[in-house]
Amino acid sequence: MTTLAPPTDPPVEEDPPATRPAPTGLRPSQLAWRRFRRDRTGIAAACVVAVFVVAGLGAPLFAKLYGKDPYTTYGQNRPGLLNEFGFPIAPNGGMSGEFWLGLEPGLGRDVLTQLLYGIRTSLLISLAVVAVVTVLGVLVGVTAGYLGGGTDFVVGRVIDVMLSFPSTLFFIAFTPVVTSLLTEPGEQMSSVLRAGVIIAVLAAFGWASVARLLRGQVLSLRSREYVEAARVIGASPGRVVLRELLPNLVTPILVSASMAVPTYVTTEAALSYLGVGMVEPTPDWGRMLLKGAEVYKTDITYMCVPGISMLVFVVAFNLLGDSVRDALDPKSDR
Amino acid sequence: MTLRTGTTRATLVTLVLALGAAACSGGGGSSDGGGPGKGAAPKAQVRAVSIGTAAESKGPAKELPGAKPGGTATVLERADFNHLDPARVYVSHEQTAELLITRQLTTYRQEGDHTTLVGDLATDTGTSPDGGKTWTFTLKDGLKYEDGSPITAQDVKYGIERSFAKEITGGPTWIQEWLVGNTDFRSVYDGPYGGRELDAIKTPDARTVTFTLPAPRGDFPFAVAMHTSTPVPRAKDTKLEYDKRPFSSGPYKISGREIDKSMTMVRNEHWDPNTDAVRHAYPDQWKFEFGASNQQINERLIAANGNDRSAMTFRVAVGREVAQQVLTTPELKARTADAATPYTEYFEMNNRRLTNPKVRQALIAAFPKEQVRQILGGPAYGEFATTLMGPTVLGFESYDLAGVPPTGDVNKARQLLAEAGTPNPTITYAYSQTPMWEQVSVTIVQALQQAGFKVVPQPINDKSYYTEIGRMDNKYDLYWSGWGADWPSAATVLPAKFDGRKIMDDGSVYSLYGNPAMSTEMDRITSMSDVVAAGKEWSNLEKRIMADAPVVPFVYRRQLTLYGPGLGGVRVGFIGSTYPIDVWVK
Repeated sequence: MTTLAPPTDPPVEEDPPATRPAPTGLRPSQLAWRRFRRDRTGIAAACVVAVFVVAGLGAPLFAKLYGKDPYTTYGQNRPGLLNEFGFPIAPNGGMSGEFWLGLEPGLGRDVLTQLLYGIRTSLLISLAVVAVVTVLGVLVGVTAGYLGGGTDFVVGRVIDVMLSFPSTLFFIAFTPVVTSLLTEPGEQMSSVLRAGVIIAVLAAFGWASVARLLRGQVLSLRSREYVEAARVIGASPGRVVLRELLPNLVTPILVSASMAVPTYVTTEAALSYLGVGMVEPTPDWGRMLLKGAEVYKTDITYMCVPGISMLVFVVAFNLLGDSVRDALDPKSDR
Repeated sequence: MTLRTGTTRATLVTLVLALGAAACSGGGGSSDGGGPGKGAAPKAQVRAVSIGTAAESKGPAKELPGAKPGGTATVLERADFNHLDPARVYVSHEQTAELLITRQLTTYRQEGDHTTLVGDLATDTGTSPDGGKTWTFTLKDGLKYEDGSPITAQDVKYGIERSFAKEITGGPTWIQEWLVGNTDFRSVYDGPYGGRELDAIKTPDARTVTFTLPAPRGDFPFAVAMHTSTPVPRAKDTKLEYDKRPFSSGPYKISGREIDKSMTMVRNEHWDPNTDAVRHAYPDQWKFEFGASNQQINERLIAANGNDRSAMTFRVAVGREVAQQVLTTPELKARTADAATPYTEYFEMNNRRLTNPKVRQALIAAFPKEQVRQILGGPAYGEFATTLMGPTVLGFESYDLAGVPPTGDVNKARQLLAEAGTPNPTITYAYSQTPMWEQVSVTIVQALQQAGFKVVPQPINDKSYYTEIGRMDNKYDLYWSGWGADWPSAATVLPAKFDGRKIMDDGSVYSLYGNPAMSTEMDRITSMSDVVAAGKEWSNLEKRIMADAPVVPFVYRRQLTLYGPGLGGVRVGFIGSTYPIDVWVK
């Protein structure tokens, strides 16, 4: 998103010619970076996202400094924190100098560390999904687009099927099946394995939209003259794809990946909300929201903490995605 | 019977003897709202049901102060009634709905905190000249079905006969088993659809029905208060279709029903209040709405907008999400019905896997009852239990063999484990996979681990929970279950839960506890004719069973439900659900 500069700011273009550096050739990435830096919304969004990423990935470190962890049931272990109904006694959901964002109703765990670890869980899962989806989508999309013909037809129909599948229903039905297939009765599924299942299930559908996007891009690039020229001079298909096509596909790939992260964060949260995501005791953003929706009448704070933080995160990440697209590909329509 | 998973779901039948001290009397719910003990549970009182006289069985029911007829009352339930065929109902809210549309040989009259077994269709609670082997009931005059035809003794007989049919399943089986003297009663008699009659029931005339049992059963008048004894005219028996629309013998009849969505009951003009000692039937109409979640129902009842002003619910309890709001707001607390129920909840231990009693005792010592109850809703959920039968059962005696605080005693548990020679046994804790039970598992795992147990939490699909833990070869060590008495006798609790001979797949002995000495003793007490003396014996036996530490007693369940400000006479009834029979629309 491009913001209008306030009228008091001197317009950049009207710098005195003397101070303007001699026009030198700038690489596209440098141009993009320059455009991005001028985009204040983008910068702000990037800062917010960075805070979330640092907070999430640095959760264990922070928890160490803060002196709490997301697993101990402080409210249950120590009398005076929760009342007989399991709600925090102190106002604002039990916020205090000791528990900065209060206590979880019922179990009495620390909300701040729960949130940070929850962000970490959601972020790691969604980043992993985006990585898998992007790699798969690029491979399939580029192959289909470049080879065309029968391959393109078959891949195209598969993508059609994947995209028309009711994926949310599938997640709900399929996750417990996979879970029971992978665990023996009498043993608990490790949280890493469960995260793996969620990543696999989400990625199983996610690649299709990336592949379709890339296929279209490749189809339009394939007939460009420089590609034709490379073919004519006898470049191998591998070289054409890697050297000629891929560099021109970086923009759509980056844009789709940056837009996909917040989508998968919310999808992962939705899965937990629906009861097929991460299970206790692994802290999870979506499950916090679920609990919040249940106790909001008595303890609104507990709903606000995960709710507002997720809202801020998703908005910031979407704005960042927009800015990245504007910077990389200013001509594209939005 | 079995309690379903999920706090507020459920429950197969029962009778409560205890009555809540507070808002369950018929005074329109204007009880001591906002008193000092804001979350205090009603004290369960042990009170024998007295057997009423013929005079007490006479209608009409005593007028309630302030009550007036007319209006439409609404009932909100989470799910539609699975069964309404009187021979098939065994879940408390279904039995509660039956109160409006069917009548039985006997029933319970509650006035204030006193409960009496009285004749319903019968003029009294039955007579037995030979100490319980033969029971004779005489029907009242003027009993009519919804089409005006008379209710006959033959219809009562036919109603019981059809409960033997193999397609009519799900209801209680006491009468059937007693009549043929065999727990596999269908092998002796397979119902009236093949043209056979049951000779154990005789109907010498249209108003007399006589039951002849192979063995004396002093409890028979209680057993015929269950819906098995509902009269069904042969001509109106639609077999499986009867489940959708039973033929009414009660004060209302079903006028419209959309399965899973709604149901309407209107007056049965042929019901004569002068024949009925318990049902008031003040509202002209009952409207049922199904499909909202428990939380939505509670929030609607709190808001009480529009038609919800005169709404109630048979069994949607005030859940953990609104418990504090309801119990600390005087206006809301004033419109709750509140009483102890006959249900006791346990965390069952698999006695075939945890064979060392010291280990089981250690588990009892370490178990964090208070922390778990806090997650389930705190005091609104129930009182901590230390015994196997609940305080509503005749002969109940409070005792505490473990002697640990409700928060658990880690040191005592450690010591017991050391004595057992296994300081770190591995325990598989199975739970129904819902957010609430998942949170409970966090607490249980933590507490048991502190005591030295190694705990493997094992979630089970909510729908198949009872099937899974009901397997004789299940691989779990600890799992929740609940049980309530069908009538206030331990004979419907201890043999059902702790008789090793009844261990089978999908049975009710989830702890797989078996001790031949105890089983023999159960047989002896069951055959006693003096119910009060038997109650004492049951209590002694219970302590002996508890010495074996077969289960972790958890709580005696409490029923706390909200109702709209436009209703009066709402109270928790005998089976642990909220009753409609005294309700009027203000």
